[in-house]
Amino acid sequence: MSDSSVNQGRILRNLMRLMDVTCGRSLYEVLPRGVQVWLPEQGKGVYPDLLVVAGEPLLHDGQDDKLLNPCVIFEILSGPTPSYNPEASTLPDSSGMFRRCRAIPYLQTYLFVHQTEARVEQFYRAEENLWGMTTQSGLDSVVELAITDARLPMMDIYERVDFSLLV
Amino acid sequence: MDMVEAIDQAKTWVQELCDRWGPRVDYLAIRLEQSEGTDIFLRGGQAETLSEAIAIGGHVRACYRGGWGFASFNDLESLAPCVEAAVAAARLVGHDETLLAPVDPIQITRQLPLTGTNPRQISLARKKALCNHYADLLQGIDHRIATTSVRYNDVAQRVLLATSEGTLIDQAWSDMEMRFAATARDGDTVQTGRETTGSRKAYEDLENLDDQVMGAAQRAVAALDLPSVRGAAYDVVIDPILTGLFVHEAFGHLSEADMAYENPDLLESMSLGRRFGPDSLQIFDGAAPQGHRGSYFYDDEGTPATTTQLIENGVLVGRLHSRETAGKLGEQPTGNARCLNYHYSPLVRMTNTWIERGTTPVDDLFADIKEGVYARNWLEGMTNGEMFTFTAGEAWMIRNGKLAEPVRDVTLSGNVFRTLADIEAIGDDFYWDESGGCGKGGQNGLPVGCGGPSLRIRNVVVGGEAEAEYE
Repeated sequence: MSDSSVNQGRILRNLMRLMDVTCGRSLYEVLPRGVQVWLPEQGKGVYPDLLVVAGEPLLHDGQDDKLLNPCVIFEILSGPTPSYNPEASTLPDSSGMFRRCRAIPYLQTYLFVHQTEARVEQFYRAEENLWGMTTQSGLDSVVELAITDARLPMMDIYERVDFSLLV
Repeated sequence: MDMVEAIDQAKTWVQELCDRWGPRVDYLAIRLEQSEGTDIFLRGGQAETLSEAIAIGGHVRACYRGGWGFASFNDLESLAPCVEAAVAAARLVGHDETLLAPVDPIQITRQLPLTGTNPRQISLARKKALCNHYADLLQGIDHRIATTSVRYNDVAQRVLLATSEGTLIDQAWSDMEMRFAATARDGDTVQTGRETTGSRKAYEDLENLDDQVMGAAQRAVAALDLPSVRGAAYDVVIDPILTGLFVHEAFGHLSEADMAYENPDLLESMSLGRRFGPDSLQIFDGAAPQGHRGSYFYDDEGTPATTTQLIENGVLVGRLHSRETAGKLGEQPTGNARCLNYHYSPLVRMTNTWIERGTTPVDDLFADIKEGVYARNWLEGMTNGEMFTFTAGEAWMIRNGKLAEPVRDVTLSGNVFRTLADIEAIGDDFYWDESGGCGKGGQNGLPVGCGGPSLRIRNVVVGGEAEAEYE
């Protein structure tokens, strides 16, 4: 997410607020956009919209702009994306960032947050190299994170988000 | 007092507690567990984890009028208060009817037999030396190997289960697992190769894996220069390891009765008597066959291990149960209630899951395929209900019935029901993959076995990795 829309900004603010309330004073720490997650095997980094670290941040070669151990990553999707369709023959894998981040051994949960509709897709690590997925859609549902015990009401994730705005 | 003595002495005590508190509820179970294990993790040849741990703990489950109480503890002093707490909790939430399929009470002591050396008799130094040896092999394959990882763990567990019905089971086993990965990099191209193996039989099963381990690094390096497969629907042939992954991840989880019981749509999809595949398709799950990662004598509710046929001649004939799901659905318990450790309540879990060997010679599986894909092993996967996507560990094109050029980035996607129906031929080979660690409900890494023959499946969606650019 580089040039944000107003709705993306709202979602990010709401997620930050929700996650910080849940994680404050726990072993989890929430870090906003701008922190680089370093992928040592790929020799590159990525910049998630929001991430959570369990315990102390682990840094690549001690460099404080290269974080190694996010356990949760949020990605706010920048445009309308093909919706998940249970009849479709493939699972959504709509982001290059998720593909790269799956190599992070500390990562337990990766969430796609849509901005054109109230919809969150959560991928969780069920086994070392196997991911399961759950989808929440509609403002009445609640996203339960696979770790951190956070419960994020969709109503709060999408507070003040105007779905009639063009992306 | 050492732990063996602690569990031995607790035997009489847990029975007394069951006798005293059992009449207050419909069912009471106390499960004590002691475990000793080793965990080693080397990244890039350097030890990140090197530990030996000993743990003792237990949990209490009580059921009263359909409501469950649960309490866990990690020192035996807390056992009696936990029994009281679990009984109180069950009585607080139970307002219905307790439906647990009956099993015969039994008093027995069993140890899963080892066929070689017990890993607990091997020194930590020797285990670490083995890990270093494999890490050196991975790193030494090519200068383009960017990083390697080697993980070793073993655990010896002893579990004592006592119930208010008079069951007292003292069961023990050893389990071990090794995971290897090598990542090769050339400019922006990054490729990974993996191998995993496990055993409940002998430490020797983890030695002499040189060829297998080197294969992981060789695949990663070779893939750097391979073309991506062209995405399309192909007829595919998969090897027994991918068959095992498919039967466990795509089909097996849907056979777990707790999943179906909680999801009426799934229960409808998984109606007994429904045809899923060809006449030649037989699928089983069971802890009763000995010598695999999912083998045991009794499950964590004291139900004897069985072998359950799930699909017979292509038709769904069975599912996997705990006592509660069997009771609620009016079916027989299958001995599939398992918990990862004393922190958790048992869930319906797979044990050893397999597709039975077929009759088609493996070479004939390729015959008549004009353009197809042959996929072996796997790197990663995703599942969502009946949908699955698996990334092959290595793959080749099939052209005019013959193996042709190798390709990379092969993902196989589909709907499990459609894919089962699209099985065209079942190979006459068979392989037990003992690498499996299964995850469900936060209880991840439960040992399981997966087995099967090579399969030919028509019309599988194969994705070439349309590599997204960096955002």
